Amino acid sequence: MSDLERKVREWGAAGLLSEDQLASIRTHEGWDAPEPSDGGEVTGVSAGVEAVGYLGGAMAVAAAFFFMSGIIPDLTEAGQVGLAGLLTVVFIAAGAFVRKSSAPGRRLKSVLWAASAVGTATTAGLLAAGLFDAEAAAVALSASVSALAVAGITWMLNKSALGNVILLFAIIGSATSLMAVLNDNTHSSFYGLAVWAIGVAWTILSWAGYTPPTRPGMVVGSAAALVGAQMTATEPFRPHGLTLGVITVTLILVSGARLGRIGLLITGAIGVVVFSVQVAQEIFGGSELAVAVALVVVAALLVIGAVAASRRRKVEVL
Amino acid sequence: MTKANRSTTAALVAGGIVIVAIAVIVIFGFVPTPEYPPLAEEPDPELSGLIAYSIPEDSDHADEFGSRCVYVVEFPEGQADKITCRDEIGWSMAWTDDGWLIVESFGQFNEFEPGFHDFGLALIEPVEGGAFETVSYANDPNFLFSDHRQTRKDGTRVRVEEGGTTVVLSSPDGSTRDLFGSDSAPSNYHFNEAQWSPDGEYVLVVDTKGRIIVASASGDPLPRVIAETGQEYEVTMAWYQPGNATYTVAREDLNSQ
Repeated sequence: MSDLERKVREWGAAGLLSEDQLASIRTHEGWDAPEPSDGGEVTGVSAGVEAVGYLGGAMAVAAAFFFMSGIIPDLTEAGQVGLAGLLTVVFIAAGAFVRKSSAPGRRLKSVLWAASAVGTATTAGLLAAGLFDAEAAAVALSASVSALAVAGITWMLNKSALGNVILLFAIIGSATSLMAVLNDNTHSSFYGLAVWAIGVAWTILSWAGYTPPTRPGMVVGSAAALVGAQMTATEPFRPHGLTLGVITVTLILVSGARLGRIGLLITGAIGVVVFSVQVAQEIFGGSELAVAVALVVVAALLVIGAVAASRRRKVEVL
Repeated sequence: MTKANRSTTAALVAGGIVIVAIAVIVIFGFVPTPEYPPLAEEPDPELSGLIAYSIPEDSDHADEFGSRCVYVVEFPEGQADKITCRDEIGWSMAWTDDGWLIVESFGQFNEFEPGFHDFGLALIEPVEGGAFETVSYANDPNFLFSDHRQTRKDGTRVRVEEGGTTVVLSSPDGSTRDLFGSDSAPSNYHFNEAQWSPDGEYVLVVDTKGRIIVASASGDPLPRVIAETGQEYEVTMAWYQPGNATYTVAREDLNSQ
């Protein structure tokens, strides 16, 4: 628990903040709700109920795989769509009935609704491919836009970290499949650029509080930006993509250090590992020794930077 | 910075990044594929003979040694007819001097992935495709490969640069001439291969859209699409003009097995 979270709880206990204000702050910051005190009334979902919910969800997924491998090939196309749609409706309804007044309840709700977004994409994809015989790009677009609608609505109703991730995936899927529908000759690097731009925008919007919870949103947005930069770094745009990656990694690390966000620092560190090897290979060509020396120098600079940062300020936990 | 200012600034920056990315993608990523008219729209009575091409039967397994289908286009009509699909048919193909197709044949080998030189030869009757006769050839079967069809009798070569979108003619004196193509093309579009017609009057090109294109080597090239195979890389082709033995193998040199 961070200092800020502890302080906010104190303010809540002192009556300086209402329950609604506390809930809004918790949602915005991505904090779990406090466990009810002994003897307090439990109005939400207990850990046991949450576990049963996950078990049911896992069994539903296992059943889906069973259907996919064993039964779906024998079903008519309408039957496949109906089966996927039925599972999706079950997930949506189950998520809607879960109360979110407790942390386990919110988690269970977010998992069920994440499954419903995936189910919606599957249903729409089967519908487009099977019944309307659509092209692959059109199938992907219908699946991702359908998932985007469900992910957007469920995220607005329950602003969880998982909902944030699913919503970002749905946006990326919709944007890239729209590109494929508009022009099937677009080079893969431009899909990478689109993913990068969405990831960066998501990170900034999460930082500003538009796409809560803030910290998971910033981390997943940063990760998407790195993946986008990596996708951009294919010939003949490899230098452009690597440059984009280096700039992105730098911005993530600087942001992480300035904001005290360990999640961003970890994401940036992963980016350093991924891009420094590629950049060193580009610069030094086939010289393995030079690449190794370059990596050691980068690693040393990172360690020195981390030590300097740790002496300057206390880093907040993710 | 106040919270309101931060929100506004963040929204503007995020929106700006997305708008700039969209602009870059639309300007540089949405370059249209060069279009060429189909032969039916721009017929050329001077075109003669047969063009054969082969493509994988299942494009999802194009990199494996799966079945390939052979098509034949007969000029001047220019209609592509599928004559056969067989597991035994390999990549390379050529014509005999009497107008039969000769293809790589993997039928006599049991290995899942035969080596580069582990192939036999098979004759295919080019109209119905029914006959498939395994033959042998005592000499080096280089005639099968398209490389030698890139050089005309007078030494002029037709080539496409790696990843290039222009067909170039290189004379023996070292001079070059761009025959046709476009500098403005999607970054993943290019020509894969070019070869001469047996009479040296035309060039035959295949691009990454799987289009087989014919163009005149002199005057206005007038590139026209003969066939749309839909294959990005796995198209092989050969041109036969009756009475012209260039790029062919003598039927009498092939021995039945």
